[in-house]
Amino acid sequence: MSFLQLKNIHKTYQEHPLLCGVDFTVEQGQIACLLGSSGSGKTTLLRIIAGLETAEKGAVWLDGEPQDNIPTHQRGVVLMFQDYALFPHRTVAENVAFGLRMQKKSRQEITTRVTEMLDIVGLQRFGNRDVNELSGGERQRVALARSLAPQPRLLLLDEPLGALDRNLRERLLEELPSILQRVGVTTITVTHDQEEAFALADRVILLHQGKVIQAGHPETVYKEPRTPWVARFLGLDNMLPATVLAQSPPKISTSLGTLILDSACQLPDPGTQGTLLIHTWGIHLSSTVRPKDTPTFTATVTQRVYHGRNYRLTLKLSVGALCLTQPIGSTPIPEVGTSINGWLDPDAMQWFTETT
Amino acid sequence: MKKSPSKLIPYALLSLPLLFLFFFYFYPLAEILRASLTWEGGLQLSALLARLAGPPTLKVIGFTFWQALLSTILTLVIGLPGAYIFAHYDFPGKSIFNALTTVPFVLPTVVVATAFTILLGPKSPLNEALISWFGFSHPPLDLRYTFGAILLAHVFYNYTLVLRMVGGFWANLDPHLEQAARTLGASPWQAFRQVTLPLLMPSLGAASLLVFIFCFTSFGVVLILGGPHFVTLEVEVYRQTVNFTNLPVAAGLSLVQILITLLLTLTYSRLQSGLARPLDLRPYWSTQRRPQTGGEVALVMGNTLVTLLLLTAPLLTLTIRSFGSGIRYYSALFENPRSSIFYVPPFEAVRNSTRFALITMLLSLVLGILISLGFLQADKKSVDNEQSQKTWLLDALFMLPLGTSAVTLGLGYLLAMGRPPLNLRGTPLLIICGHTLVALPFVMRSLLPALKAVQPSLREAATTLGASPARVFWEIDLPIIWRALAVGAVFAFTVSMGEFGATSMIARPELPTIPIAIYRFLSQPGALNYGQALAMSTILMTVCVTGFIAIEFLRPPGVQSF
Repeated sequence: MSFLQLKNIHKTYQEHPLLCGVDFTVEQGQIACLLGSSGSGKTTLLRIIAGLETAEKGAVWLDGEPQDNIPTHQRGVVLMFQDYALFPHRTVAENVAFGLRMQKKSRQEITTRVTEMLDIVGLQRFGNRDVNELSGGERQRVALARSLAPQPRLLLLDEPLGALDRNLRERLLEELPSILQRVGVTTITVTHDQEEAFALADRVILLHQGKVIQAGHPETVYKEPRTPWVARFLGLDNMLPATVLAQSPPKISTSLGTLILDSACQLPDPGTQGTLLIHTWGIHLSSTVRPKDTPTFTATVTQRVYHGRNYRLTLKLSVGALCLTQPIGSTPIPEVGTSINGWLDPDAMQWFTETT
Repeated sequence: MKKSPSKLIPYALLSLPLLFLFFFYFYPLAEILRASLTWEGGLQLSALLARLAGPPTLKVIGFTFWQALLSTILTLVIGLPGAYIFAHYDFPGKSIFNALTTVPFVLPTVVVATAFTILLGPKSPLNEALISWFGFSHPPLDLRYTFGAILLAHVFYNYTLVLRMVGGFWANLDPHLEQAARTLGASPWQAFRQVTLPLLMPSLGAASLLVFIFCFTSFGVVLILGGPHFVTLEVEVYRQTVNFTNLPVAAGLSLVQILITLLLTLTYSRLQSGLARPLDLRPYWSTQRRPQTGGEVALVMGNTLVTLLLLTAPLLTLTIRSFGSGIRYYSALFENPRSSIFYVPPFEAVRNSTRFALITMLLSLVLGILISLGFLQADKKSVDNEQSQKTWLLDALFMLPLGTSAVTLGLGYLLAMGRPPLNLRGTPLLIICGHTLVALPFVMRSLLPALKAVQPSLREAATTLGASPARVFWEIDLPIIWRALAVGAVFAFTVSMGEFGATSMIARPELPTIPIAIYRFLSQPGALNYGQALAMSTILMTVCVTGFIAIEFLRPPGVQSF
């Protein structure tokens, strides 16, 4: 049995269904990430797990026990709030000590543990500081230390990096997983940012229209999104309407012409309408060197946006458009207006029976 | 999942305060209604008409309206330039000036009225100056017991309302609005007339109405400064009760008073909600600057000086005159001569008042905390609008005593508490309950916003870290709101110390409070009696000003005092 199990959770918010039967599991020691657009009920789900809100239907099981009738303060589930909720009337050390005091730990134990925690988050000499004078990143670290100190069974992080500026975010994005792994606490974090999710988690859970739409290892989810919505949510935007022509070999008709997919691809009956996803890593901009039997295209560059480490190009084909990222340095980046040739890798194509 | 029994928590918390409100507010008011409609054993509407019909009553109602209207206009005329300056200029000592203008508002009516009897009487500093300069044989000016004296005292009291409400709103108004109008071709006057004034209207209306309500229900000032000639509804209720013991007529007048104030208060809350129009309000410092041209400096300085004169002259004169015979007036307070108007040394009044005020403070804090926590719980449980409507209604319910005149309350207690089920006539408990009822809205105004301002996530964070609900209140709420709690406590204490209207109706002669003692001294002839009134007024003023300074000191930054 899984460490944490959510069974058929239902919740309405202001008379609109928000969660309609959420099921998922998290294993002990895992870092799971709930990913979904804003308003998808991610935060509400965390609050239900913590016991701060009650689901209308469904159950939360933790370590083999139903949590329904256990009040929040006895669950051993700590929630780190998006605004950190540091107690303004207490110092850094007092904030970190709070959960330990609630556990009636001895003064000695508390002091030791607080020092240890501040050490882990890199705030060794901050114990006596006023929390109102801290910077955003420092506040985040104090909140993390406070949440970890009482050794929760389950740690919930609500948009842990949401309030930080970009540089700090990137640094903490690397630090956070290593701290969590060092402590070895089972964690669920919530974010709307897929990059953050992929960097933090060893399991992502995608929430859409009140349900879990896909769950799995970040790389699997990214490579094989289950629906066009997932693909679009992950920022994969080369999706074309397509029609099945034949099942074996898998052959479809698109605005790019007739395409033959990877032979492992299972297609429905000929004539079915659907969507084709082309991963950007499968779009190549050279017509001279290319594997045999790959589809080619001719296009005009209509947009060229500089993104720091790479360029994002929009190509206009005779019908439709493609987007791709080109890293700087490898090949010269074509100017807007130039006409170019390219080819597509069949391995980078994925069929969805849903239309977009 | 099951519905938790925690839905019942708000009602459990609110039950005690609601019972208190029922027995010490609604029950007495119902008794007034009953008494005013009782005629030969039955209830009849015509009974009320028969008692009130006739020119004397109409004259009293007419005068009550008239003096309130004139007082309001006068307060606006004097207060608006102050509000303009408050909103537009920053000058050294501004915050001290602002605090000073609020002092009158916390002073008991008896103290203010006493101070004005000196300032306007034959022995005023002005008269003495005129005599010494021009050699008059009598004091040329005696404005005591005139209409002007009443108006002046009302302006003194309510000036700060206009300054704070209109000036405060004006100061936060985005100056870009007026500037945009100017760039669109409006003259300064047009920009004011077309943009600023319409935006100010709700705050102007609310301030005027509040001043009107306070003047309409003004009691101590009219009773003491108006003499026998000027009688408002409040004073007439008092006279009918205390002088003529004609309780049915008093009840009828009270009923009229209740209806009119209820109407005015409802209008006021409507206007208040109009203040919540979505405006992009600016922090005050972005709208204010130092006066620069000579004209501006003269304007600011002139206004400040005139205001300070108006506000401090009565209080300074009072203090100085109370020491007119050294400390004789004060030492007399400890004596109990045989011909005394009290059965006890006058200083007993100070002890009584302090004792009542302390118990009032405790009682109103306990009730205030219960109410605030109940509201908080009820709000937390409600996501849908229906329930926040319910707390809105409850809030209005507990604020009602604020709009009810103290004399009416006193009359209600006389009618209701003299017999079972609650036979409390003449007990100190009755006075304490009356004071608590008057103080409770102030305590709530202070506690509730503070509790609501505590980020819910702080409580939730504490809960997920293992704190039980009681522990959360103790560890999170209490340390964060203690200032607001202290402000509420001081408010309750000073309100109780200064309460005159209700106490004057129900206090027993041998248990006088400070305001009652002052009024009795004032009603007696003789320099020593008058002197003791001055001494006691000065003592009470000192207590209230100290309380006020404590409030200013304790108030969390950015929170208004009312």
